[in-house]
Parts: sequence; structure tokens; C-alpha cells
Amino acid sequence: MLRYVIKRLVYAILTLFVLITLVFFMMRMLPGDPFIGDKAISPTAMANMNAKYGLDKPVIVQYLMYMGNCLRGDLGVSITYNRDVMGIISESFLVSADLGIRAIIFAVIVGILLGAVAAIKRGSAWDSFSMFVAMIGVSVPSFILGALLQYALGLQLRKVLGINLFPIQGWGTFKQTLLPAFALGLSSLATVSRLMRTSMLDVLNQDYIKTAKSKGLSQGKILWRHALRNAIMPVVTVMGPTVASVLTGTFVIESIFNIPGLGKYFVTSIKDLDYTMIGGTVVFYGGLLILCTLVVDLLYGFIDPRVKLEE
Amino acid sequence: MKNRLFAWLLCLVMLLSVSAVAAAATNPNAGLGYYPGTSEKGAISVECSTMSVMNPFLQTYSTEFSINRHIWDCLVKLDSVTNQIAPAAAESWTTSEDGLTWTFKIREGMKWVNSKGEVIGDVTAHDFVFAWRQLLNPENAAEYYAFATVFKNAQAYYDYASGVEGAPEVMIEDVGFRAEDDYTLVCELENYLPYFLQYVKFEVMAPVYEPFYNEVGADKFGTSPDTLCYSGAFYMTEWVLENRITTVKNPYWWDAENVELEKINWVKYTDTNAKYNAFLGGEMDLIDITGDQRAMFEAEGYAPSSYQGGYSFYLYCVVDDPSRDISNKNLRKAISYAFDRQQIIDTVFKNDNKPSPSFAFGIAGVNTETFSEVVVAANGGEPLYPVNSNEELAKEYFAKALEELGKTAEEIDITFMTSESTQNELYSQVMQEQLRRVLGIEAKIEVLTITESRARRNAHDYDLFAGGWGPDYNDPMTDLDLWQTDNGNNHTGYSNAEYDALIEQARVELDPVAREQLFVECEKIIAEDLPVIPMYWRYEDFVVSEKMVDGYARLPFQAYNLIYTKLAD
Repeated sequence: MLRYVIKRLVYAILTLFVLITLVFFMMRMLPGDPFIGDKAISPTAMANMNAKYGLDKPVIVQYLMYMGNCLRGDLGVSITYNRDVMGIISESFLVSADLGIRAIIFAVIVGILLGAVAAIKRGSAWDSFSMFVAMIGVSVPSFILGALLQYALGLQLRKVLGINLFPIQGWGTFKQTLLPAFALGLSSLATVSRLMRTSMLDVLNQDYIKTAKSKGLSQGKILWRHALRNAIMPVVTVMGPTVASVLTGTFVIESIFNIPGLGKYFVTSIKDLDYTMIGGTVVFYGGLLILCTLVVDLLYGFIDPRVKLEE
Repeated sequence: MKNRLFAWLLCLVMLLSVSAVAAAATNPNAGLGYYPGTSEKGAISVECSTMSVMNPFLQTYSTEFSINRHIWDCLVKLDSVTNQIAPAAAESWTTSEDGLTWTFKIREGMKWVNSKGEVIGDVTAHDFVFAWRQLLNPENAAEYYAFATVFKNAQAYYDYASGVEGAPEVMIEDVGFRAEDDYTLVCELENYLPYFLQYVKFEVMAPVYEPFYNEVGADKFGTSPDTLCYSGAFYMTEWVLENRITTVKNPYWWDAENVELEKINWVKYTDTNAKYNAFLGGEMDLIDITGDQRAMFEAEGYAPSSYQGGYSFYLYCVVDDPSRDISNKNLRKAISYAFDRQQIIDTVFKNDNKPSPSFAFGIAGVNTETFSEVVVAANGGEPLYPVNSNEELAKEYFAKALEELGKTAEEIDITFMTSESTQNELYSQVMQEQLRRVLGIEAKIEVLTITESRARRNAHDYDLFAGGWGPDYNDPMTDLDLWQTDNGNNHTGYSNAEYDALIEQARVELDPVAREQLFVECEKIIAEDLPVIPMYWRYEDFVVSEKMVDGYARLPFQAYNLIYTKLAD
């Protein structure tokens, strides 16, 4: 077990190293210059700006310095914001993660429930309802869903009730988390419930379920101890990348609900050619993704003892 | 003596003439009962499009400057009603006979407060000296350092300190500003500058309190509310990066008794629909709106307001590369006449944008409200650029161009370089269609990222590229020196000795009317040579909730001035 974890950690570091290297050189190939704006800057000032961010040195020297700083946990100073990249990421990640955790809890609990019920009551109205919800979740893009929620619950419901149940935008109060968490969680919910339904149906037809039934176990025990535990494996598999992507925020949901999360920086840093910020978001996201996948692999062992991690 | 009197008269004339496009706003919708605004008492929530940097000497965006002028006082400011220079941190000033030395009397009793609203020191002349030294410090790499180069020896010091090869040694003490005592600031200028006060009004010239700066350290200064201290009408209590800034009324400000507003929430949006919904839902008091949103407000009888920041939009043309068809002057004229500017505005922007009558916009005239009026009058009352397309003239110039280029219409090769955005792309498509219709040219469109398009623009590697310019100070020079041969913003390769000479003359001309005439000549030359094809003046629409009744201003050089906003009861 320990050997497996160490092996995976070494791979993880190697992957990160390759990722940072690739991104470092790729972003330098992007056309344009971070300091060229609408108004002209004198060559002397341009040289000073390049020197301030270390861009006056040869690229390979910059790369070595960047790698060294990364090892010390220093991701540099953002060109756009003139402040520590690490600080920006940790501040905004807390917000994204807060929202993401709410969305995931919502998606997983409701998704598993809907999927399981749909499978158990296959062909019933429950089944149709669950799959209808899943269909909506998969097919309606989050920016449409977000805008619809704002309009229907934020604006119209407020007009009807006269009270502000669902704030349209902003961040800081519990109420403000409701609409974005729902909008963010719905597509994961759809994925989870569909996966859950399929795998539950599969499990319910297995011989061991029939055995359990013939042993005289109660319906509840069969479902809880035999069916659910076996059926949940595919859901756990998709949770790794889903958690990583939901936790780090999404540009769309954050911009619709005006939430100060990490999501926007993935997009704006590239647009602004903010090299340090691009590097920072990539290192952070890459690291988190690798970590989540590792956790999921380890979880397999606990949920399904048949999975041998050492092999 | 005569000179001194003249300098004073000149200042007076300039001040009086800047009667501008002004008048602080009164809400046209006050009391309608449609959008009562946010519920927090004494506070307003206002959209602010860019607020990435709050270190005053590193700021570059007009909306950042807007917050700046609410939390610091420069020596002088622009009045929120008249848009004229008015005393701020300096209560009075005098100039020497030659206009090169200015002495400012700093208002006594002004305080520095921290993000908790506690007094931490007195504002003195030394704070300006320190701030301007930071602006000129190459290690800070301030983009707008050039505002401090009006002072004697400042450019020389900057070059020396930046390690420019061959730059003679100049020390910071030799630069032309010093605190004679705590409340007397003396400035010596490098050259005569009739609009010098417009420079010290500029927000990057805000004071910085040295003991506080040293305490937080240069790296941390200005990165959070706690790492800044304030001397203006408000102070900052909260800053969530790229999301919102909260400023609270500063009771220690010298004119605090006239400030009714308790708090301003500056909110940034990336989604136009979200802020629209937020306004409708009573979560915002002031937002910028799109043409479509404006139509929706108007349909329900709610009047939007319009803001003129003085932004002039045009097409850059590369004129110094003979291998490009666009370097042919007659072709540029044909294109300019072929454009139906009003149709472009109605199709693409759907707002009050105006076809450019002249290049410079938002600048006051000497004896008229705007400089542009003088230009139009000098052109026989006609705008320099047609509102609708003039097909006859367009075809006439086109025929000449084809002859000079030795090409047929089908062989004409021009490309609109466009930075990516739905609106920019539509803008190019409409222009492309107009050229196709009037001249039979098949222009191409090339869509690039904004950073790449700027790099290509600076390298003169394009045919036509849509750009815009916002004035830095209230004088035609801010717009017209762009097309001087060596100006860093002249991305067209345009070089005209006559034009350069006119600008140089304007730099030293003391008579304001004669000086204005020099600028009129410049405008005429631009219209004749078309290194850029002026297209439209931007008017930005916004709506204000009924909570804000009066006293707020959105004017050229002050995108927001909300200090004296009056609220509904």
C-alpha cells in the first residue's frame, strides 16, 4: 500500500514537472506582449517593466528561476494585479472550493438517490422523473440555466413574494450560494444519476443479489449492503476529475453570479498574457487534479476490497 | 511683469473656457417608482469595470482612477459640476513670471487615515514629493511615470536611474519638485506647459504617506485595504480582487460635511446580463448597459443616461509600407467616404455614438464649449468626416487610387485586423459589407487575440485596425500629438513635417486662440492625409436607480465622481 502511494507520488511529481515545463514554453510562444496596451510606453519604461518581472533574462534562465521558485512554493508576482500569485489563488480558491463543495454534496446525494431510485423502480414514474432531471442537467448549458434561475427565482419570484429569497448575484451570505451551487451542481448530478442508474440495474441482476434475496435478507439490507456498495464504483471513478474541476471553479457560473472565484483567472490570465498567473493556475489545477485522481484510486481499495492496489 | 500678467490671463481664459460638456447629473427618473435601488441605507452599489491595481502610482485604467479620486486628493481636482480645475489638497497656488515655477499651498489639517478609519498622520507637501519620487523610481516600473516628467530634470533622472547608456548623472534631489516646508510645495517645470494643472490633477500624482509606505514595504503596498492609507473623501475597507471594493465616508476629509453618502460598493461584472438582472432586482444602483438593454429600459419608460468619456474611435492605417494598397492616400479617402458611419452605429452599437465630426473629442474650446465646434466651423460648418456614405466622392477617389496603384477593384487587397469579441467582429463585417457595396472591394477580416493584435499594430503589420483613444487631459494636444512622427502611439508610420511643426509650435504658443488655430490646422491635415480614418465618438449608456437623485457626475477625465451624490429619502 505504502509502496503504491510513494510510486504514485513520484509519478505525480514527474507529471507536474512535465506540465510546468510544457506550459512555460508554450505560453512564451503566444503572440503578443503583456505590457503592450492601448497607450504607448517608452522603451526605457518597457525595459524597467521587463526587469521588474524578470522578463529581461534569456528564456532558459527564466525557466530555471521559475522552477526553483516553484520548488520553494513561490509562484511569482502577477503582471496584471501586481501582487502575489499564490495569494490570489489561495484567496479565490477558497471561494471556488466553498461553492464547489456545496455543489458536489448536492450533486452526489441527490444524484445517487435519483439514480438508485430510478433503477429500483425501473419503468415507473420515478424512473421517468429521474431521467428527465438528468436529461435537463446534461443538455442545458450552465450559462442558460444560470440566467434562467436568476430570472425566474431571483427576479420574478421576488416580485411575487415581495421578499428576496434568492439573491441574483454576489458572494458572502448563505442565500447567495443557493442559485450558483444548484446551477453548478446540476450537470454533475445528471452524470452521477445516469451512471448510478445503469450500474445499479446491472448489479441488481447479479447472482449475489438473488442469493441475498433467497437468504431471506430484507430489501433494505440487500440494497444498502450489496447493491449500493457495488454499484457506486463507476460514480467514484468519475468523482476524481469532477471534484477537481468543480472545486477550482468555472468561468461561466462565477461570471454569471459574480462570484470572486478562481475560475476566471484560467481565462483572463491567458487573454492578458499574465505569464506568472497562467503558470500559477496551471500548477495549481494540475496538482489538484493529480491529487484527486490519486485519492480516488486509493478509495477503490476501501470500497471494493477486490481491487489490489499493489498490482 | 507683462509676462506674468499674460500667464495669469492665460490661466484664467483656460479655466473659463473649460466650461465643457458638464453639469453634474440629476437623475431623470427620480421618483418614478420603477427601480428604487439597493436597500442598504446611505450606501450605493456601482459598477466599475476595471479595478485590478490600487497602488496609486501603478494604476492605468480610467475606472481605477475613478476609485482613486474618491480615496485620495491630488493637488487639484476637476469639479463635479463644471469639470473645471478646482482646489483639492492644494488650497491655492501661484506661478512665476515665466510660468515655469509653481508654488502650491497645501491645505492644513488634512489627515491620513487607515482602513479602519483611524488617523495615522497629517497630509503634507512631503507626501507629494515622496509619491512622485516613487512614480519616477525605475524599480516600480510605473507605466504612467511620464506624468512626472513635466518636472525639470525628471526625464533625465529617469533615464539615468534606469541605466540608459550614456545618460548623464542626475540625482532625485535635482528633479524639479521640493517641499519648502510642510505646507509649501514648489514645482519647477522642464518646459512651458499651459495645461500643467491638468497634470497634477492626474490620479497617478496622488500623495503617498512615506512612514506608512515604509512600514508595509514596497512589495505589499497597495495590495489590500490594510496596506494603503487614505486622504480623500472615502477610505477603503474591503477589496475582493476582481469582484468588489468597498469605500466608506472619511469623516476627517476636509469637505466631509458636504458628503451625504456613507458608503460606495464598487462592483465588477464580467457578464452583462448578470448586472442587468442585478439592477432590475434592486442589487445595483448604477450599471453600464448595452444597446439592447437600453432599448428595453426605454420601452418601459425608464430613461437611460449617457456618458461621454471623450473616447474617439478610428481605423489605424499603415501608411509607410508601399507594398500595402492602404498606403495609397486616395484609397483611404475612398474608404472613408464609402463608410456610412451612422449605419455602423445603428447596426453595431445601437446607442448614441456619434459619427466623428473631428478627431479630438471631449476637449473644451477656448471660446466655445468644445474644440470640435471650432474645427467644424473652420470647415464651413461641415463635419470633417461624412455621417452617411458619400458614394460619388468615394468612387471618384477610388478611380484615382486604382489608376495610381495600377489595379482593378477586384485586385485591391486590404484586411481588417480585428481583436476577438462579438462586437468587434460585427463592426468589421459591417465595414466590409459597406466597402463591398460602394467600391466593390472584397476586404478580408482577420480575427486575433487582443494581445497579438496590439503587437501587430505596434509592428505596423496590418492594413486597417480599429482603435480608440481617450484623452488624458483637457487640451487638444492630448489627442493631436499622437500623429507626430516620433510619438509612441503613432502606429501608422505617418510622418508629415508640416504637422510636426504645427504641434511643436503649439507647445510654445502663448496666445490661446492662436494656439487653438494651430490645432485646427492639425485636424485639417489629418482629414486630408488620413493616417487614421476617424469613425465615431463613443457615448456610453448607463442607468441609475432612483436612489441616486442628484450630484453624481460622469464626465470626460472623471469617469465617476460620486462624492457629492444626493440620495432619495
